[in-house]
Amino acid sequence: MSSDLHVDGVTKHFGDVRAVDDVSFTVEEGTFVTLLGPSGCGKTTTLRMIAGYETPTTGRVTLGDRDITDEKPYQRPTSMVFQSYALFPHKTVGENVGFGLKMRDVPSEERDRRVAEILELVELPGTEDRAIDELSGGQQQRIALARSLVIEPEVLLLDEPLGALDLKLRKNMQVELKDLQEELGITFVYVTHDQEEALTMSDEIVILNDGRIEQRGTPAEIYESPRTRFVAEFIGDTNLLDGTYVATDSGAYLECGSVEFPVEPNPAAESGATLSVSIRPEKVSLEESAARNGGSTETDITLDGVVDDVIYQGNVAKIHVRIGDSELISERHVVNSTDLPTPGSECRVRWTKEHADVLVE
Amino acid sequence: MSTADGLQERLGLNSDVSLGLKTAAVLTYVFLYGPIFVILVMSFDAGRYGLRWEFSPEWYLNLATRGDLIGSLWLSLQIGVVVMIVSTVLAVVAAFGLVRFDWPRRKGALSTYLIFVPLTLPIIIYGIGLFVFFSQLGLGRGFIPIVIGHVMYTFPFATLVVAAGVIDLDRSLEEAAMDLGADPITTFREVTIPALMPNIVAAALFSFTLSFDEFLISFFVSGAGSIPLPVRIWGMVRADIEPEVYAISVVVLVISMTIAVIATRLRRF
Ligand SMILES: Nc1ncnc2c1ncn2[C@@H]1O[C@H](COP(=O)(O)OP(=O)(O)O)[C@@H](O)[C@H]1O
Ligand SMILES: [Mg+2]
Repeated sequence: MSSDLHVDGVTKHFGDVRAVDDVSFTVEEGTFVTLLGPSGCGKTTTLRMIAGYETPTTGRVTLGDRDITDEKPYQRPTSMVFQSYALFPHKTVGENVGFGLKMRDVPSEERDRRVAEILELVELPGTEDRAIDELSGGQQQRIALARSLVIEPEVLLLDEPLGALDLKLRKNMQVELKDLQEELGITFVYVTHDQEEALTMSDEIVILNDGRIEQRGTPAEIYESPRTRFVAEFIGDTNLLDGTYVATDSGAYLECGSVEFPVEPNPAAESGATLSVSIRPEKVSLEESAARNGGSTETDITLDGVVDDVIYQGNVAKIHVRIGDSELISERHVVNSTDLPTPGSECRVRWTKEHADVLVE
Repeated sequence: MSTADGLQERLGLNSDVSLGLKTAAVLTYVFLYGPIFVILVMSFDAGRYGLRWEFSPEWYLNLATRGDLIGSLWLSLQIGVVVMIVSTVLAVVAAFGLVRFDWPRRKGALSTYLIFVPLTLPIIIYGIGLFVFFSQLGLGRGFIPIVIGHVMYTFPFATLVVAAGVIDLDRSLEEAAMDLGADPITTFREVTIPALMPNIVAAALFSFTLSFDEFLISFFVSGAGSIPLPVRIWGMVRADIEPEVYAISVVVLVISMTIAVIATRLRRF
């Protein structure tokens, strides 16, 4: 039987605050799904409703065929790794990790064996008798993970588990966590406000903003086809061109000050609306001088401009180009720094129509 | 004196002022510990009225024959232990009630205030009130009234100490326990109480010492058969100080200081 996790129309009010607003998503069994969004957008509240610490005001949470909305945390086959780790300070590492097994009345020999196994898995073998405060932050993180994994939960919930670690350790742990998840095949629901972390680890990303889902999709879908201005700005860097969207029978285009160019029609946008188009900097190529003839074709957009600024960053360079009233950034890999254009020179930018996304608010 | 040195550095004081500060500091300690020192010296003085000090353990040895003093000491210890247990248990309950109960707007502040207001009242009013109250109830004087009186007196202090721990307690510890399969009662036993243990022990020691030293309430509600040590000592010093009083005072001092040392060694408070 499949045990996909369904969050179905869940809303949570705290007094007048609507922390989570009609959120629905499915986490397929054995996948890694990330709830991503800025601080205060309702990620933790959503996770706590899956764990059972909060009851939804409306909506259901189901695991396979089992409705767990009203089950207590200790009745659910979920386990949570807290940002603060929440390790029991008065218990040893072994007692911490074995706690869940003890609660399940697992006999002590089997308990010791499974604790030893899981400590091996998180690369801290033989630490059973250590005190929690003897461990470093990274080690505590692993112990918290081991404590949750040892009870073999169907769903592991992780609330910004790497937030307290330094950058290098965090990068390592991202890869390790992802490998561990694939190896064990446990469903992971991961919460973070770090878009890079989400892109690195997830099979699917659910982007939350102000209690609502902005967009869901694979990392590539989210990055390459953002649907709202919020998503385009939150994930990675992007160029936003503001203008009037015009849809006709023969296609759609954006009037952007003195220039206009064709775009992929977006059924969610109304003709005549003022909106933005997002183009990732690395999708914008740059040709020096307006040497080549011809304007935009139906799939290939070219616009003339002037180089405003060149920002050299080692392996990449960001070239700021002024086009009418707008500015576009073109990013390229640098092989020879002498090949970069000089500010003030005339140039032409080019992108493929499918790389420009018409955004709604 | 490091405080004096620090002040001197910060204010750029000259050595005369520094000397003055040091003298003041020393005098403060003399003032604080002088009376205790006097008691200690007197308790080993052989001459009852003599002008010359001469060492003798006589008064300590005499204590063994003073059934009244030993009886009162034993009673005070018993009262202290009972008060400690009752007061600490009540304090744990009250602390959770105050901190964790979802109080309606403003009622929370009021309940907190009502628990702590006795801390600010003159204890003598308490003593008189209890005396009248117990007389009306026909309970009179003795062990039970003293215990009740002491618990009312120590309970707010104990609650304060435990509540500080409950406020600081990381809620996610309890959530983690439940997450791992512990029901609320198991969570309380396995995680909440152990995490609060330093505060609970401190509250217990606090309650014991407050009760052990308490005089005013005991004075009003102690009776013929049950006279706690502070009341007994007060009775003995009214006319002419018997030397055994010094000896028993030193015994009390040692007990109190031992407990104070234990309490201060508990790191978290
Ligand atoms: N227990 C609570 N009581 C009142 N408001 C809360 C509570 N928990 C969260 N909130 C509010 O709900 C919103 C979402 O919070 P949260 O889920 O913690 O966001 P995130 O984890 O994305 O930072 C915030 O506005 C927060 O202030
Ligand atoms: Mg959060």
